[in-house]
Amino acid sequence: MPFSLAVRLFALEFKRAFAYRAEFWLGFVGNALSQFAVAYLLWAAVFAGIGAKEMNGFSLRDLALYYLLIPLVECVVMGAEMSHISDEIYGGTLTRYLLYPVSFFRFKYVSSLAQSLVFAGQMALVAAAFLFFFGIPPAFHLTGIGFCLGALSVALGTVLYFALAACLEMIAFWADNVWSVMILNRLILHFLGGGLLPLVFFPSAIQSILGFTPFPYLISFPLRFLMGGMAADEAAFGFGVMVFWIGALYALAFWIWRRGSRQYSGVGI
Amino acid sequence: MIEVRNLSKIFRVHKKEPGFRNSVRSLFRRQWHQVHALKSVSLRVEAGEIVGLVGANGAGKTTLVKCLAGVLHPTSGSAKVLGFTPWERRDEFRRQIALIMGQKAQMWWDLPAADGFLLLREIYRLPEAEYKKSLEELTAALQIGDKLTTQIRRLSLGERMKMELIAALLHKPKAVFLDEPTIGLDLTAQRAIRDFLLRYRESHRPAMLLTSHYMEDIERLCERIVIIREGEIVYDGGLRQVLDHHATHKQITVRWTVAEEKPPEDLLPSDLGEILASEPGTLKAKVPRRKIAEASSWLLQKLPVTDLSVEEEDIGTIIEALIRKR
Repeated sequence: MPFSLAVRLFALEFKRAFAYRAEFWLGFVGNALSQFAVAYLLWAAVFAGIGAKEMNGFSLRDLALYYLLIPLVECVVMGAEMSHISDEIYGGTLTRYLLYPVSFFRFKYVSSLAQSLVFAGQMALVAAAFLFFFGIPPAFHLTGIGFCLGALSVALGTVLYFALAACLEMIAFWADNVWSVMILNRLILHFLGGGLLPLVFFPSAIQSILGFTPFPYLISFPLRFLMGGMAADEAAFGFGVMVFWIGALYALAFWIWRRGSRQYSGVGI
Repeated sequence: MIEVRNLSKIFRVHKKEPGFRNSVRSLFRRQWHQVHALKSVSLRVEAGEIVGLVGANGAGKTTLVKCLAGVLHPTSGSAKVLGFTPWERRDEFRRQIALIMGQKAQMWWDLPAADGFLLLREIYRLPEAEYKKSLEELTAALQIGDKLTTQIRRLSLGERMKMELIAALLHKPKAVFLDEPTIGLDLTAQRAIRDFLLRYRESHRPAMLLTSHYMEDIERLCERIVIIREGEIVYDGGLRQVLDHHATHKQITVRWTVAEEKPPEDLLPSDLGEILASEPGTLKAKVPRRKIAEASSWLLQKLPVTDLSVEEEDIGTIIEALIRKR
């Protein structure tokens, strides 16, 4: 895809996001603040209940930072829209992308990335407010290399999530509605990716198995670079698994696309 | 330029019976049936030609157009558009075609048209000067320049259709597929779009395939029509030749001086024609084409005729008969 087209798509998505101001600010309050508040209050009750200062290496302030960063990473990696491909298939608007001389996947990926960045901007405001009021927590160890690796893992995470979501969304070529599949997908990713609670709270056997799946690399892996980083061999293994899954899921996505687009009717005869 | 050979398309459609019990049953057992949307269709369209694709709802017009634009994969047969197989969707092919669907907006709903056009400029990689010239020409021809900064969803149906036309023609396609481009528009907007399409054809000479339910679209724009019935082509030829091949009758209207009297029912022998309407002083009859002279002479002898006219059957009626014929 030409760079100028990507820039134009970014500009349009920003314009579209700012055109709906109510949605912008309600999304800001609804998504960031509510998620953070629920998690913080719950963990505060747990810490108070058992009288502990630390659990699995996390203090309450560390957990607050963790839950503050989760929506930030999650919204960039997973995007704001949940069914941007299946809706196009179901509604017949995929037709226009079949007519344009551009790759459908690249077009949708760039649009989705632009939406994610708008969303991430909202989350960054929450993070800034938090840091202003509570100061920088001790768990926040961001180094130059940590930031670069964190940014790389987020970037790869967006590609990984897009491929995974595309495979599921293209079920719409055969099934009328895949909304429930996408909801389930988000719930599973949120849970197994460490969005609900840090993966160190999982049994170690499950943590080992999860290390070979794509799930931890969507949320937990990038987060760890922002919260103290990890050993070099662990980081290298993580990036290797990500690259493997990106390759495998893209191959699967193209295979589904070739078959699915033969099924596509564009609605109506 | 567009060449289609024995193209067939079969859709597999899920049968959904009404009622709650059937909905539950369909969760476990689905019934499917096949719809033969296109049955061995063959045709050719040359550059500069506008061919009208005419047929009833569900006859297969849109399916054919979508196959030729590369949106649908046919079940069998072959097609070449500008030398490409459409459903391979090569970028080089997609840069040279356009599909305009009156029933389906393709522009971005919540963006002003101007932003959508800029995006299309990048998609088709149009040089700035060429893009500006093309946009100016098209907006001037469709008289819609003042609406470019309005969100698409806030435009009237006619204005939206004009924007769709601009979006589809910005890159000067060599093959244009128009699927009911005037549907739902008022008469003024319909006329504006027809005039525009004629001017566009003259200046750019693309091959155009047009489907429409409006006979006026077909009569104004097309010299050649293809009639499609239940997925099969039943006529492919000149619009005027439809009359020669399929108009079996003409209509005679006679007027005479004795205005107060209604003519007798048996005035015209049944082998010469059928009386369609008779009132004092006027008679209209449907007469076989080969008996026009005989019937006219008979009426001239029987009545003190002051005026006699012979007209062709309405072309729309003939085409409609061909579309519905079983």
